Amino acid sequence: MYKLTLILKYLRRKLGPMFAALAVMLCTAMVIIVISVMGGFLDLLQTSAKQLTGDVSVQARSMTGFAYYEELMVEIKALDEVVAATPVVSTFGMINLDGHTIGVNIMGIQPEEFSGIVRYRDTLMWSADDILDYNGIDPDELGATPPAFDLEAMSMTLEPAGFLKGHDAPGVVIGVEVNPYQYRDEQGQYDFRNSAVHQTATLTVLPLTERGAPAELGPSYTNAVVLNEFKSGLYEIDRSQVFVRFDVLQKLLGMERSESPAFDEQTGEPIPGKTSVKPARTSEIVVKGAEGYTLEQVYAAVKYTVLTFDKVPARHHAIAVRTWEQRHAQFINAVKNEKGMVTFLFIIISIVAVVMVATTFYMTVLEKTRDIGVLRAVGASQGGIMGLFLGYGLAVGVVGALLGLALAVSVVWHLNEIQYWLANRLGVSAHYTWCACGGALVGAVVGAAVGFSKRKALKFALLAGLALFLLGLAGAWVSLAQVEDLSFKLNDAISFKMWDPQTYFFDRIPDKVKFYDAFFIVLGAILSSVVGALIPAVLAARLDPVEALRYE
Amino acid sequence: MTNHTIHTESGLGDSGPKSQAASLLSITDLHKHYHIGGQDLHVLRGVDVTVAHGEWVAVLGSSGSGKSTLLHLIGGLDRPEQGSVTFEGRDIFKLPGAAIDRYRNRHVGFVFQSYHLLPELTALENVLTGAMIRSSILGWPGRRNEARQRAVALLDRVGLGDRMKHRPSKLSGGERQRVAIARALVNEPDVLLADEPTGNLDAETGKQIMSLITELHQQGQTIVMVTHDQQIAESADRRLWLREGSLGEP
Repeated sequence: MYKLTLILKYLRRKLGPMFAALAVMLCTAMVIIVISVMGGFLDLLQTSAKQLTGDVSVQARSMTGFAYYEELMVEIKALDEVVAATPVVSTFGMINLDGHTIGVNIMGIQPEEFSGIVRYRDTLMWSADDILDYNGIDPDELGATPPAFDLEAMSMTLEPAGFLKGHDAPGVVIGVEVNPYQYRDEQGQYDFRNSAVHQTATLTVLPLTERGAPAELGPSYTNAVVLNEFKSGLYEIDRSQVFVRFDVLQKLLGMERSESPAFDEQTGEPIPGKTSVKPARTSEIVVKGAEGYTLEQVYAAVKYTVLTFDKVPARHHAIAVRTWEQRHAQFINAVKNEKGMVTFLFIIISIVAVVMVATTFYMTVLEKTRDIGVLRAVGASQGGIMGLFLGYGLAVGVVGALLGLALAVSVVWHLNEIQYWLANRLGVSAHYTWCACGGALVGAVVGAAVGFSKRKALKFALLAGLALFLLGLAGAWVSLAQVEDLSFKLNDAISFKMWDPQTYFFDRIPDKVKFYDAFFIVLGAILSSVVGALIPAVLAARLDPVEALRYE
Repeated sequence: MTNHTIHTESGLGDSGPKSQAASLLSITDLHKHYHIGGQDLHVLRGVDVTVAHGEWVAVLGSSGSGKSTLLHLIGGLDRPEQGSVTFEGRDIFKLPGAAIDRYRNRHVGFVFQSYHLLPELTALENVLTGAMIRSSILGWPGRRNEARQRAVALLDRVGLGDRMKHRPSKLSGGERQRVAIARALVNEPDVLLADEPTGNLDAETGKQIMSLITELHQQGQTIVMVTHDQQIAESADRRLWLREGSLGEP
């Protein structure tokens, strides 16, 4: 019982263990934050990769695509393991929006089928409400929504409706970051007023012959009406992808079914009544697996179907069948390795906490040597003394680890706000400088009050408070003088952006705490603290009580 | 030198009812060496003494004569190179380590010259230390009230009923020593081992402490006290001199 009493007393009354608990707290928080952010990043990546590519994809290895996909799709759809499949044609191309030409990845899709397999519908940004609101129209007064305003319906057909039909151009849905005028505001939101909806764009692609040479007619292009913008959350996709109707892109690329007169190979003359048919081609078929089947089962079934499909020379590797995991393996594994490496590095750093605890406890044992002798004289056993210091280490570990968990949770949950603040607000502004001034003044008064009984402390508190007050005053003067240029420069100098979506793909930092991992980290931190206290505890237990009593 | 024989054979577990036998402690041929600075210091050279129940024995000697060493050996804090300390029929140095700790906790109460109170604890908590060591964490709730009542009574008895919540740093030297005496008595030990209990106190406070010890003795407490002050030793039933490692009559 004396152990618990002393542990509680030592915890409250000693500065050393507080520092040890602080070290444990910071290390715990650090590892939990890293694991949560990196793990969250990995989860986001995996979820997005799966949602944006379907379970399994049957992909042409050549940019010219593969033929007889319709027949192949019939066979794939007939599989028990498959619930849906849709063709997708894709190519690199350009989009011109209001004079800006941007390189993009153009995907030709059948929106309804595509949306059943890949996340598409819920990535659409704008709806009729936005456009009505923008035009100042009350939906109740309007009655039925004009077809050209029903952005979601048009996006799901990729066909302009209503008055937009007059443009005689197909519809296009663009990634929100493809639009050069679109940007996120201070709250991280996009504004419909900056959107490209209803604008006319020009899509340009380079059709290739079956042999991969540029088609004779050169690049083909079409005007298109922007029907909506989408935001997948993956920055890389949002800044480079546009969707058009499958048949539109297929035609632009010359991949549609075509018939031409047949020519005699010997004479080169057309053969009357005979035609040569070029089958339609696609770049890819995306497949959704049926429930109850694992990804591997779906993959195996589709792969077998492709390999046994006699119209396509699959044996010659014209078509690749890959799961979403295989397709993104390189990138996901890189992030996995990065997570592992970063975690390892932080765990190495966390050994500092163990050393800190060991040092603190060693000092405590030295400081408490005589008390240890007293306790032995009153009847405490060697095991009891060891238990006292191990229990002390445990208590420091529990307090530090739980505080670390609390710190990590509050940081991770507010990581985006913190990063936003660091990136945008950390600078000279009247508000903050006055706050700093006030804080410094309060600090000086409190410091003076605390240090009242100790002259040195009083002087120090007053001087520190005064210095901070003057610093704050100078800051306030800079802001109030509205020296904008200087303010901006200062802002640039002391602000930084932790999370740049251009580097990290996602527009937000993952802010979910990995509680399962956190549990083991907390456990590890407590254990580390006990390990740190182990050697001092053994030393304390082995102290000769007579020597300990004589210790000065 | 008087030697008493041991009549009791009780174990060293729970204190239980006090033995009615005449002698409590028997110290036989006790030798203790120290190796300091490469030199062998033979501090105790065959000490023999028997302490009866309720007896107050004062051991006198100059500084460095080995008085404290003798007290530490009797209390089982140290081990001799030779000889035995027999308590209620059993040689404490032949007991396993845990039993010696138990012996110190239940049968012996130490009072030191420098008080040796734990600075983080209040006077009451310091007194309770021995009782807390005696009890397991699970057994403590059942014993706490009783132990607390005993500790409060002891503090009242030593005249510190109103200073129970004070930490040692807020107490005077005499008050600290009284807390230390109360701590030594909390488990109702068979023998009180006092090492220069007035050594750090002024004459007046020393007198108060001595009158407290005398009062305890009158109530039947066995006391072994070491001191260099002959005047203080006057109150004891028996005075022995420790000279050149051996005990003898003055």
